[in-house]
Amino acid sequence: MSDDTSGGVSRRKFLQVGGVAAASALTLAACSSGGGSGGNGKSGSKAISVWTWYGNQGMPNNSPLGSEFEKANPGTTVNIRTFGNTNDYSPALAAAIAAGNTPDIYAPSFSAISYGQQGVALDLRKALGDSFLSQFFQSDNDQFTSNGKQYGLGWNAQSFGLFYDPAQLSKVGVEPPETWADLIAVAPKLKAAGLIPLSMSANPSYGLSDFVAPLITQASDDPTLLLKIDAQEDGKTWNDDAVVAALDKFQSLVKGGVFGAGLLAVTYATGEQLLTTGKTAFLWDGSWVPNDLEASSPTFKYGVAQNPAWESGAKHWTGDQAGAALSVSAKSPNLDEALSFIKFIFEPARYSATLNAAQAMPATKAAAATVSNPQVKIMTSWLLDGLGAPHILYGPGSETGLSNACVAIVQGKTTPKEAAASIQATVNEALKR
Amino acid sequence: MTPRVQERAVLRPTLRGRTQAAAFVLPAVILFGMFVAYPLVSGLYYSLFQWPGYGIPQYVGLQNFINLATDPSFLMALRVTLIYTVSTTVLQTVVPMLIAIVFMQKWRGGAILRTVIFIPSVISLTITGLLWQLALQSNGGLIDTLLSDVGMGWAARPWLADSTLVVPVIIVVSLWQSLGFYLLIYYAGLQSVDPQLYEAARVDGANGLGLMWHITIPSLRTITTLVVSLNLINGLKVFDVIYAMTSGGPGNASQSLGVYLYQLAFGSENGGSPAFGYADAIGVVMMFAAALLFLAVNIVRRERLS
Repeated sequence: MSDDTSGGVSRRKFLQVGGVAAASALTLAACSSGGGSGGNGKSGSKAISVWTWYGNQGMPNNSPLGSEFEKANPGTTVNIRTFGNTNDYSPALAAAIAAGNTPDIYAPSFSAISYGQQGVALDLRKALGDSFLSQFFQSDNDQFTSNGKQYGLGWNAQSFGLFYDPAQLSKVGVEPPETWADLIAVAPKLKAAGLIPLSMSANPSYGLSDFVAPLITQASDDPTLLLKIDAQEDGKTWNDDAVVAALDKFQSLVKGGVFGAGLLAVTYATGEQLLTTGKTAFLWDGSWVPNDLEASSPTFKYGVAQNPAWESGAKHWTGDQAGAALSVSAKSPNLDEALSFIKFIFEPARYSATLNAAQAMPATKAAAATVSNPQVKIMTSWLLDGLGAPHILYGPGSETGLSNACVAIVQGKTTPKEAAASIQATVNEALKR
Repeated sequence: MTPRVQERAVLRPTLRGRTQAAAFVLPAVILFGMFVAYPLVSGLYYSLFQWPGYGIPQYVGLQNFINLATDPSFLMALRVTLIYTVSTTVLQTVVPMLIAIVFMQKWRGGAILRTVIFIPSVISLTITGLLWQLALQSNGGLIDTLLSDVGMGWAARPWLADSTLVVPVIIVVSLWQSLGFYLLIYYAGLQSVDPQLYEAARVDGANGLGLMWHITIPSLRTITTLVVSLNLINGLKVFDVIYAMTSGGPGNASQSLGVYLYQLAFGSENGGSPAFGYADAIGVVMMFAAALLFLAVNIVRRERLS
C-alpha cells in the first residue's frame, strides 16, 4: 500500500473504503431482526418462540421445558425469551406485534381479549378443545373469554391474603382477623406495640385496585358483578351500590388507623421488607410472596391467613385471576408445533413439577392438589373452595379510576359516593380514546 | 494555476470529493432516518388514528387532540410537566452556575468536592429514582431514619405518599443527579473568560458581586443558553426518574406527560386495549412544545446579542 495513486490501492483509498464498509456493516447489523415469530430453526427444523416475563414463575430463560420438548419432538426448536419485568417486556411485545412478528407463544398481559378480537391471538377453545380447557380454574378461563372464544390460558393463578409472623403476633397476643371490623378493633393494640397493623403495596397505585376489587364481590356476594361493571354491561356502572359500599369499607379501614403513614409509597419489595423486619403485623399481598421470600428471606417463618370477610360468617372472597397467562399467535407459521408445546407444558405431572419448583400457584385444578409449598397450598385451597373473585380490571380507565379513587380516600379528599362517580367519569373519558 | 482558478478549486469540490463526502455522511443519514425521522413521521401519522398498536388503525383526524384538550389526566400531566420543567430549568441553571463561580476561587479541596458533586451524574436516572424511592420510604427509609437520629424526627414526612410533596421531592432528586453535569459545563466555560476583564473591572472599582454580574454572567451567556435549552427539553420529556420513584403516583399526582404517554401505550391506563394513537398525539404535543421553547430561547438569545 502506498500514499500515491500511481498503482495499487492508496492508503487514503483503503481507509476511505474501509471506513464506509465498517459503518455500513454496523448499520446493517442494527437492522437485523430481533426475533418474534420462530419460523425455521437450525438446518431446516421448525422453531417456535416463547416470550414472557415469567422468570420467577416457572419459565426462566434456561427453562428445561424447551430442551425437554425438543428431545421429545426432534425437528422442533424452542426459543424461550424471558424478560426481566413487564416494563422491559411490554414495549418489546408491542413492537413485535406491530411489525407483524408476533412470537408464537407469548404473555398477553392485559390484552388477551383485545389481541383475539384483532386476530393477533388464537381462539384456544377451538384449537385445544373444551376438554383441555376444563382442567383450568373457571375464573382463569373466564378472564380471557369473550363471546364464547378464549384467547389465553392461565399459567399462574393468584390469590391474596394476610401474611404475618406467627411469633410476633403471639407476642402481641393477636390472632389473624376474621373480618375487617376485627382488624380495625385490634389496630390500636398493634400500634401500641410499635407495629403497622396492615401494610400493602400502593406504589404503583394499582395495588389498591387489587385490594378493593374483591371488596366489591364481598359487598354483593356476586363474583360476576365486577366483571359486568368493568365491561359496562347489563347497565352496570361504577356508581353501583356495591362499589360505594366497598369504598366505604376501605374508608373505614383508613379512618380506623389500619394503614401506616406513607402507605401510598409502599412498593411490593418494601412491603415484604416491612414484614420480614418486623415493622408490620400483617402484609396484604398475593401468592407470589412465598417465591419472593424464599429468595430474599429463606429463614423467615411466616403464616398466611384468609382475606378478612365482610362480616362474621360471610365468605372470605379473595382475588383469583391469573396474573400470568399464555396466548398463541393466530398467525404463527408453526401453529401445530406451538399448540403441541402448550399441551406439553401443561401435562399434569410436568406442570405440577414446574410450578412447584418456582413455588408459584398453578392455574389447573389437578396441579392445585399437588402444591408443595405449604403457604401456596393454603392460598390455592381458597380457590378450590370457591372463594375466588375477580381483581384484574380490563375495561378502559377502570383500574386507573379505581386506584385514583382509593388514593383520594386515603388522603381524605373524597367520599365513597364521590369516589365511585369519579371512577365512572374516568372510564367515560377513557372510552373516548 | 491562476489565483482565481485556485480559489474556485477550493470553493467548488470535485465530483469525486462530493461522492466521498456523501459516502461518509450516508451511514449517519441512514441511522437518522431510521431512528429519528421515520419514528417522527410515523408518530405524526398515527396520532390521527385510533390504534391499539395492532389490527387496522381507524382514522379519526384531529379527534385525539380534541380529546386531549378536555382530558383531566392529560391536563394534570401537563401541569406536572410544566411545574417540573420550569423548576428544574431554573434550579439546574442557577445553582450549578453559582457553585461553578464559587469553585473558581480555587480553594483547597475544591477538586475533591467537584468530583463528589459530579458522581451522581454518572448514575442513570432510573437507578437514581430507585435509590431515592428506597431512601424516602416512610417506614425505615434512610432520610426519615437520619432525621430521627439527629433529633429532627418532627421533620419526617411521607415524602412520596403526599400529593403536595411528591413533585418538589422529585425536583430535588433531579437537581441532585444533574448538578455535577451542569457544574462541569459552567466550570469549563468559566476557564475561557479573559482574566484581563476582571483586572480592568477591579481597576474601575468593581467588587465581587459586581464582577459576577457584569463580567462573569454575561460571559457565560452562550453556555447558559445551552444549559437552559437542555433543561427545558429534558424537563418536557421527563419519564424515567418519575416512573422509577412513583410510577406517576400517588394517584396521578406526579404523572408527567412522558409517564402518561407510556401508561397509555404500554401500561394499563386504557385497560386491555392500548391507546397508541392517543399516546402518539401526546408525543406530538410534546414535540411541538419542545420546538417552541427551543425557538423562544434562541430568539431571546439573539435579541440580547443584537
